[in-house]
Amino acid sequence: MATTPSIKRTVAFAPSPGTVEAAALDAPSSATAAKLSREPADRRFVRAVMIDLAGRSPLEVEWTAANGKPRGEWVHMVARSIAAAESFYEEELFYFLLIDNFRPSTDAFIEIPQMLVEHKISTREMLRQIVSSQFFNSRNPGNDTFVTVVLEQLLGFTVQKEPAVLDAGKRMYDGYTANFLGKSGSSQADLVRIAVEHLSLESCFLSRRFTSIFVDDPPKKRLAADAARLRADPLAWSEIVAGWINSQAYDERLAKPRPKSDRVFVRSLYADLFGRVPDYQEFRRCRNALLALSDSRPLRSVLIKLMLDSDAADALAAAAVDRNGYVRERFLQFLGREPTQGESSAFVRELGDGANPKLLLRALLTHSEYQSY
Amino acid sequence: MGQRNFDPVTRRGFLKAGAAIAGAAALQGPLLGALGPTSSSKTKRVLLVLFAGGVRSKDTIGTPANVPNLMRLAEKGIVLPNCRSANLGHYGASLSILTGVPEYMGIRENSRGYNPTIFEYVRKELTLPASGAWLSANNGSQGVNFAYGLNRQWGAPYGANVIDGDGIFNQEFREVIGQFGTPRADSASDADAMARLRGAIEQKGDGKAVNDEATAARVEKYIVDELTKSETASLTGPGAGDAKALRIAGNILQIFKPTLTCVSLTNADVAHGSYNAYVDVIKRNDQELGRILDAVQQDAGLRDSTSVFVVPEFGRDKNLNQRNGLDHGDGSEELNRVACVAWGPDFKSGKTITTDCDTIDLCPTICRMLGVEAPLARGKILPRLLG
Repeated sequence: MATTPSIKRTVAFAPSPGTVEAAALDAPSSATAAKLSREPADRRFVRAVMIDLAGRSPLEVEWTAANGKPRGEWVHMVARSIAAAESFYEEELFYFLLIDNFRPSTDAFIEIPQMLVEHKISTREMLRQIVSSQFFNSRNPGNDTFVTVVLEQLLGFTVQKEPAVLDAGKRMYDGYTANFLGKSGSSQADLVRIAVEHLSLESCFLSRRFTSIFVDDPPKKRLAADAARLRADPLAWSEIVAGWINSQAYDERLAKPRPKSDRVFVRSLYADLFGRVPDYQEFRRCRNALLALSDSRPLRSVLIKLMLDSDAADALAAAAVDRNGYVRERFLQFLGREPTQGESSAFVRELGDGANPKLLLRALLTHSEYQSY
Repeated sequence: MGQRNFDPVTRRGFLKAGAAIAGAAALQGPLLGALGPTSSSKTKRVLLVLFAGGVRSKDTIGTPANVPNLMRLAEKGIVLPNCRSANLGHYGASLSILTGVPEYMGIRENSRGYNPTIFEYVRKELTLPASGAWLSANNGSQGVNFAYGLNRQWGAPYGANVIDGDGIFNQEFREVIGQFGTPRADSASDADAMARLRGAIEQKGDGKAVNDEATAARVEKYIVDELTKSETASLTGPGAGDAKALRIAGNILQIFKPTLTCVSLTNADVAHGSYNAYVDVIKRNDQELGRILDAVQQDAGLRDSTSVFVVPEFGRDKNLNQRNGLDHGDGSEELNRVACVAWGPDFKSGKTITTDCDTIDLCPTICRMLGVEAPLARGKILPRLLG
């Protein structure tokens, strides 16, 4: 039986440099109106946005859809897409460690991504449903664990600094009347309702989502403004995140590659090699194995070799007549950049000497450069 | 499983262990004391087994039939029966042993500690690659957090290679392999071509990974071998997670010959629901420990240079609960004190040291044996271990 993998989340007390400039985040990118093309800079942008919003590399149909679209418009389109909603929902479940046996499996939860796309459910309501679920309850049994997780993960509290709040929450969870976060209640349901209504919900949610894209903390004023916007319009999440990506700050972020999480790695590998998204079980098996290592890179290499050695990758490795073009395309696809003259020469030479094209693909995919985006 | 390289359980050993538990003052002495000059130490590598999940001394050295291999170790080494635990939650208590600091982590904490771990101390000061420090864990969500702490003077660049065997070598991952086919070894010409191609890529990594490229390649080969040539993935049944962790640790010890190898076990916690199942886990873990000890004895590169420490993170309650199981929360001596068994080329032989000590003493003690300081550890250097 597989064990529950680690969430590997950033702990609350790990300081963040906080280097995203407020002005750069408020300023729209100069390229917002430009039409996307298949040129390297745009390919790198499309790939990064898809990874940030859909949790994987783009599929061919998505490359095609992006081509010729004004950049800003395309970002809004992706932010509102079902691919982004599904990825967003899965990331939220993972954040709350509702995975494997604790992953919500009822129809109401399965429909959430589509409801997000159709604006039939808000971010706040989604969080309320997650925290109210039997799955969250099973994952966090007992008053101490439940209240601690609600305070820490939903509202961003440091529980050690708020013992009175924790005690009040535990009493309310146990059915006693208590004053929790300034409101009275006497049940577990009351506790969840009060937590979801708390002002910290939006700022905690937006802060961690921002950090997942920019690595750094959001500028305080912008965070406050976005939180107020999301509180006033609980359906505004996709617009807020599109605003972040259409900013100068995102352009600057792209210049600093960041590591792919195990989740992004697995999903991107399927997209890049097989042109499809892994089903949940395929994804889960690979991810859980990767999470069992402090440095998953060696096992990532094993997975890459397994997949490349299979027949499923034959199409991508079909012998190319235009060796220079083949090498260039693979660099652009996997690394988001042109090969240098030296790289191109070396790869073309190996092809000419009879190397299996799968070796070229493996060299690119197992290289540390593919592990970031 | 073989036990041929260690003497069989002796009546003397049994009586000695029993006497130790009874608290006989065999070797009382001051707590502070030097291990002696590390330059003369024969110990070049250490295996630290966190025999964890909550294991009472009376069910191990107090019942030698449960743990013949541990008793074999005790017979040739030393027993410290009065080690105080630092924490009564599994995660915090195990982390405390690794950092040498009482870690007030909750049972379900899932974040790294503030303090550097023994892996970081050893790797940094000895400038070891990541292949020099390993943790084979069966801690599920928490195991990878043991690799390194949040103190920025140490941290990820000095962390351990952590492998949770039950997370990889299991039926689910076998299904992944089944889907794509068994991994094939590269031909020599393919390996050469791969090396040339990888070398041709001009942008290099950021240097922040636990493993450098060469070590990562060795680990990759090890994983493929473990998946295709070993029995680890086929271990099943109660306690299989711990058995895998021990099996993997033994393999790692032989392949990489790390300076520090740690194993973190957890399955004994089935005791909450069943005392008998708990004893079965102890027995199975002891069998796997025996395999490692045999491997050490048979390997000329390990035999005279490896020291072994075995210690639970805490014990269990004195009395059975209503389910005929054992919880861990009664504050008893059975819960708060555990026995540490240590053996190696530098240790005294067949001694029981009843002086009070703490599980957090192991981190600085092992560091000292390896010629390394553990400046933030609050434990003491254990006295009078060496022969």
